Amino acid sequence: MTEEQMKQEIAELVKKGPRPIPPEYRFDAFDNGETVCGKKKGKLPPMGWNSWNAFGTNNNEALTREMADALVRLGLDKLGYRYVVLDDGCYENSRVDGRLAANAERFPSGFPAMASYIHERGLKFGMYNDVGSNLCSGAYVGTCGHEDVDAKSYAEWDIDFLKVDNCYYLWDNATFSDGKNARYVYAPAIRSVRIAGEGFSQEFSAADGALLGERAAIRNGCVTDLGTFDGTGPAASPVGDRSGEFALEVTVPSAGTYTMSLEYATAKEEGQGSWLQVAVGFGPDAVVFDGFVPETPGSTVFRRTDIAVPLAAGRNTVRLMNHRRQENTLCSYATLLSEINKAMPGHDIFLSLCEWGKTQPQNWGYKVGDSWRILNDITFRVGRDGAPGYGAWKDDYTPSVTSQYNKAVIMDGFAGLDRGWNDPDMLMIGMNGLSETQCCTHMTMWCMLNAPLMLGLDLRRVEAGDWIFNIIADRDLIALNQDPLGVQAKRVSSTISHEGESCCIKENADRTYLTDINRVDILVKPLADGSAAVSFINVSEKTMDSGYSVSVAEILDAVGDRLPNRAEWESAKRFFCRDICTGAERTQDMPALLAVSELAPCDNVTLLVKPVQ
Amino acid sequence: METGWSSEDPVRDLTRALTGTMRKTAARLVHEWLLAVRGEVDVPDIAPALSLADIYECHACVEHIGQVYVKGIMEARGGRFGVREVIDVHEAAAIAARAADPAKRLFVPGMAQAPGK
Repeated sequence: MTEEQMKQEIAELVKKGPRPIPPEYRFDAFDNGETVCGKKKGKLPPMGWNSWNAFGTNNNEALTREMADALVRLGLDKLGYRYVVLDDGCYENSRVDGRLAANAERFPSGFPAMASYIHERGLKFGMYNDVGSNLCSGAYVGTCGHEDVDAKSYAEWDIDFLKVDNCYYLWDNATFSDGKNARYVYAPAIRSVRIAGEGFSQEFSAADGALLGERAAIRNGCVTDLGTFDGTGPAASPVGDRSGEFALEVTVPSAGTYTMSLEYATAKEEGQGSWLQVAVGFGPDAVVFDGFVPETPGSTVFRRTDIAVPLAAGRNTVRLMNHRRQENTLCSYATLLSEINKAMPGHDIFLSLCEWGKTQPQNWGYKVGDSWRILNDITFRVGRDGAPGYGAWKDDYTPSVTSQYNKAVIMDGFAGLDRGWNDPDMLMIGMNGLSETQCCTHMTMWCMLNAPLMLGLDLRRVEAGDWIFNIIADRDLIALNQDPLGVQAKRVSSTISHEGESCCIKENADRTYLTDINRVDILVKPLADGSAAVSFINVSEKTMDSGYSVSVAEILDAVGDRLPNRAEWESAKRFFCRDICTGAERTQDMPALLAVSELAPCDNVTLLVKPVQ
Repeated sequence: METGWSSEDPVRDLTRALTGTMRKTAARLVHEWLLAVRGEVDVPDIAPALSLADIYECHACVEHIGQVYVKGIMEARGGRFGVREVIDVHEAAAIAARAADPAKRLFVPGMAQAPGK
């Protein structure tokens, strides 16, 4: 396909526009707990190896076979690491006869052979694609518009896992997308609204309505920022309303169709777009208008347009909003899942949503996916054959262990067996830049957070019994991640220290977004056998010696309702503790206080605690 | 992806490969050329590059951009790398020349000396 043909194909997709949103995909349906497209619940976090951190776009068939062999050689498959995932860089740069094709130079035997090789070893085969027109590497093989054909290809290759990225997405200003795509995901700026009908007319200014949610604002007499704000970076908490609406209360004398005359200005940027949604009341069927309004000559040039609005007699809440950033993305992933369902009836594919948290997937991801990335990448300095790449403990942006952890640790409310898992990206154990202690705590964090455990290193460098192996093969830590109760750990307290002063946050510690890493977090994770894992994590790069403790009462307050044996905990006179790292055991009498006096930089102490009868 | 750099004139090959590409793609090509043709090791610390405003716009490109920037082969403009800007033949030739000859590389603030020398 020539570049001209590609541009033509994309232009035709853009002309069609984003799909209409069915009620079950609407923002107002996000909280109903219902999945779409028959998405199955009850999957534990996946474990395996992904090519991206290890080899970037330079992965190839021989390397992948060696990694599959290494998983078996090291016995990692027996510990649960079964997925072998080919990330970006494995396809030809464009479709061949309209179909996805293996890069002939790097995967000369093709994907069916790769799948067979992996399956013959008792492992599971994973692949990668994108809901946009292109992959992040630029290859013009994104699934947009090709979901049916691609699903058939994945069926032929008998895949078990699919990671789906969001670059070049046509209906948002995603990475490499047109920046002007913001027009799809933000409403225009609104200066006034007039609602009129037979014998009725009422005018509203920006100040006459209510701003719902977050970030919607009134500036220069106009309502702006009606949309979902971008969650790709670490600036904002994932908790709470991540979008804003403008709501008007209007009381009309009789039921009927009224004319809403909107005074507005369009743009194509974050905060001000050209796509409006109007809803009367709340609920998935409340939307009465969902589309572009005529463009204005400039972002501060206002025009009027009329929209028909059906109102009931009496009081109505009219909402002006735009939730398309979330709804479009959900719809795109659902379209792909739907085609996979047709091509592979009864499949058990793990669908990994990789839109980097941009569209706040913690709200809707569970409906269609099994895990959702929460931020931009954990590292941008991926490895290649002969070089392990770089990982960082801390960073001001997203590429670090603590950037990802800081956000994931307050997202336990979004995860579970009935939903799916927050994904703070792949493990960086084995990359340059992280010490053994940091790698150990990185693994502990990911296990406590029920994160996918995707190894990202060249496994040829690992030998059974070396320090890397001892971390990634730690049975106790893996058991936490794979515990059948499926409950992500909850942060019960955080002690922040600066220049000798300490401040302990206990109330709302599980929802307060902390990015200052000079702190010690205490996490608690209830387990299926009635015990609980308690982790003291020094997030900082210095020794922390203020003394840190949690009581049984505090554990019960935090996770008691998730413990299968709460009554035993409440009545127990003694508690048994085992240190996962040292193996040390002790029994404590009530009142039981679990305490650690000091933690080395980036270190952790993780205890398994159980009431003794 | 370019994998066969001519043993006769790899600089010419590089110039031709860079002409008409976006700077983000050029960064990858130059980085791979340095590894394959010059055997030049990577700089471990690319911190000066990480402050470029648009470096994270390309997931797959950060390391490539970091290496060619801190080595003084491809410069920044106004605090941005210009990931989507297209390179013409003149710029391609200049970049290829700096890649081939460390003595021609640019000074980069934050680097003790021009790497590759």
